[in-house]
Amino acid sequence: MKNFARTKKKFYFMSKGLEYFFTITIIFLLNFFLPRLMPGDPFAYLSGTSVSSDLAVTLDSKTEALLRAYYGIDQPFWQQFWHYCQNLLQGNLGYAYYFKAPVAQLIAERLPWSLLLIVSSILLASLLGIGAGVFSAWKRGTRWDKGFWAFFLSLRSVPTFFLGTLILLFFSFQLNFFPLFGAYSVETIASAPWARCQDILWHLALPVLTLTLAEITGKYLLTRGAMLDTLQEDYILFARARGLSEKRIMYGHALPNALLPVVTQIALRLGMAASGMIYVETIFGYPGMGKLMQEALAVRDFQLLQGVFLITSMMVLLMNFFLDIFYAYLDPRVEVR
Amino acid sequence: MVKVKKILIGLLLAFIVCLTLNNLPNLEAKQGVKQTAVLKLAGEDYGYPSPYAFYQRGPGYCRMSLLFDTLVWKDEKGLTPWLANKYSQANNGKQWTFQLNPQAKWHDGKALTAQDVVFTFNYMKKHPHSWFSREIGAVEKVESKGKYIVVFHLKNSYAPFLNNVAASIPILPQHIWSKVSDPLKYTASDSVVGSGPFKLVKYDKPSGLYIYQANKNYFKGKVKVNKLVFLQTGQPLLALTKGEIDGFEPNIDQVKVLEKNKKIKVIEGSGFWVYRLLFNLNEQPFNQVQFRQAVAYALNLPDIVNRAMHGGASPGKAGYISPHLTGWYNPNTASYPYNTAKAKKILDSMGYRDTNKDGIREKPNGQKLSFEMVAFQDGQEAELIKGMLKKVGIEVKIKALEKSAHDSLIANGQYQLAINGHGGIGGDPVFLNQLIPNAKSKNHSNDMFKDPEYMKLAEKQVKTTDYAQRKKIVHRMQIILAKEVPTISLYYRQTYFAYRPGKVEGWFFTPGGVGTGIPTHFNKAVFVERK
Repeated sequence: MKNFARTKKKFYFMSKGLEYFFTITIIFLLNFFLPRLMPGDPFAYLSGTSVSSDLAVTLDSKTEALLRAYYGIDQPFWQQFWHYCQNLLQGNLGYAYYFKAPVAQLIAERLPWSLLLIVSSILLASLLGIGAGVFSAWKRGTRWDKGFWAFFLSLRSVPTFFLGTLILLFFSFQLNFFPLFGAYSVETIASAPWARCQDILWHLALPVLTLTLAEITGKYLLTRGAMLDTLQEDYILFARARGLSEKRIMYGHALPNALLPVVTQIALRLGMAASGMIYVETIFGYPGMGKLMQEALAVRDFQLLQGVFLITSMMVLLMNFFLDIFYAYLDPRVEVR
Repeated sequence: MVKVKKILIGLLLAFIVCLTLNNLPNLEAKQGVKQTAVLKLAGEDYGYPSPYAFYQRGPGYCRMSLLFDTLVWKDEKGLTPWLANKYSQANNGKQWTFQLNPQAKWHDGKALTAQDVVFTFNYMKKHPHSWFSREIGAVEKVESKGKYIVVFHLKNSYAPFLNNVAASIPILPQHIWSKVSDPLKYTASDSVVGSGPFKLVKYDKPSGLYIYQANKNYFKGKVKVNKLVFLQTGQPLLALTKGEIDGFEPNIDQVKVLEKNKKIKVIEGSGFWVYRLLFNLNEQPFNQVQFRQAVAYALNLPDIVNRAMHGGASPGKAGYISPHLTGWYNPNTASYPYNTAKAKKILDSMGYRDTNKDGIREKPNGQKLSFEMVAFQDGQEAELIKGMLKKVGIEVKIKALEKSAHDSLIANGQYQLAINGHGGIGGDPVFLNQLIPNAKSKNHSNDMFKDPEYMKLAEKQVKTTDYAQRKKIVHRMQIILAKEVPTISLYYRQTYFAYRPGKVEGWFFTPGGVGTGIPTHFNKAVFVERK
């Protein structure tokens, strides 16, 4: 019996491992080939020779051939793919054509800003959203519930870029409480770490507020819905019959069960953090992955695109993996025996 | 209820405290004025400003030009000596001699000599640069005669030499670059050691931040700004209004807002940027000049300028060259003022009539006069053109594409009609030659203009170094373009610069553009008290 259980466990992990392996392979292939299937020539942008460029420069064919060879974009796709695989096996994400820097460096410079912004916003939105969701479910049908419901739904119907602009106009431009743009001020570059930290947090406030407001409704609605479902379960009725306090029923019995879909959503959203948040980055002039990805796409910097896609997809997979493990703890039904 | 009241009072108090804090004098800012002058301009990331690593965009070149000098430069009046004190030509423009300013020094204190100039051109021949290599191709040999005299020997007379080579190509320090074998990837700190008015202190790619410090020993004169900063702002209009930056390039709608602000000045210049309609000259009926003329009559250019550009442009000219390029523009060419009756008459005479009365003309073989037009995703131009051509019985189906896809279709000649916008129509009129196929370049598709006389003149203008003679040729080329209408210039975009007066004065738009023709208010000459 013990042997059987072990074999079953082994089989489970092998099948999961295979599943991840196939997913990674498919992602890897898509990341490489998808950008290259789009019309558009990366050379036109890295050399400034596109028909709609600033100076409409034309190049002699000899220089063009030399430069194309230098960047390796004269080779057929399969050869470029082979080089990409070779590089990747050595931990090298390649060299961005247009941005003229190693892909790993470009990502490493921006990823921390995106993670700082998005992770803090999602955590904040989750805390507030779950809190409000539980409260709403608890007070279902009352004025509080209706008020919360109306507030969060109205919040969701405001587009993020509009919301961000309003927040910027009010808190920064009118009231002067927060900086207008950027992730830090030029004056504090050489300051002590603590002052630098304060400055960075100060700059982070409005972008986080905007993103939190953009994310909160989803968490609220999901928590409220899941809580309402859970509260109708028989064991809650039984808990009530046992005379347990409302607080204990809410937090001890209903919330842990209602939290599953919410945690899934949060984890998946965190996985997408590496792709940045383009609206917020644009409004607040905040550095991040969103704008980098958009620019890389516009100038057809395939090396950078595949690097960004790879990191994003790996993060999503990683979060999935954590979820797989986390579920086993959170939900006894998923336990592997 | 009491609790709620307490919370409300607390919030109100916090709000008032914040307001008071906000009203405290800004000590830091006051101290800043007393210390060194800092000029903050809004911008984006345009790459590491070394001669090989900047992004191949106008502002990228300008960031680099703060660190590196050229033999000749352009100020508000046009070409002016820079690294070279004097220059002269001989042998019908095939030989150019430059006498360098012996005061010129590299940022590390070493003297800038003729050897550096010779090295630069030899180095760039060996290590291709997408902006400079084509121009360097005209140079046969560069030699030094003594410490400060350089002589250029050209393969043929090359009229754009001064503008496109001497005033565009940065001179590199031999003692640094001679050790660099892969310049496109070289970004060590000495890669930005130049001879220019500024030294680079900091560059941060993700936030588009550049900090430049004045070069105290600049040979051209005192540098007016101690610290020059470029910042990426999300909302430059708000940042300028609030005083967090000192200048930015607004679009026409922002200009209209800023004009009401008395603390801010706006200057205007030509963008040397054209928005034009392209015909695939290889296809019927675009290969017929009357048809192209009919289209030209059907387009109401002032209306396009007003509606699509809100007035921030000037209507296109049939001779392609913008009136802002004063030295070369020919006002006496054929023109096509908006006239639908004339357009209809021409189309009728060509046998394109609306036989089935559906509002769209038919070709004599019964086919509809209907075409696909490649356009950008944004902008109203395509819709306006569609409406205008419909009025004369031509149907246009818009194929709106993302920029890269759009560019790629045009570059490969895969279109019937197309709208394209690009810069590069300032500087030397050699850009007129880009309308015809170039044997040396891959970049020529079947859609290009192949008028034999025009092609001959194109070849001739490059070799004619005498201004008056060349002007005649360039004028003739415009007359041909206006008559043949291989493309229709819809409008020339204007460009603006808004700034807070008091910090740096004397901003100007460089005639013909900086370098080979970058339209900008941003010219390093503004920052130098020239002797």
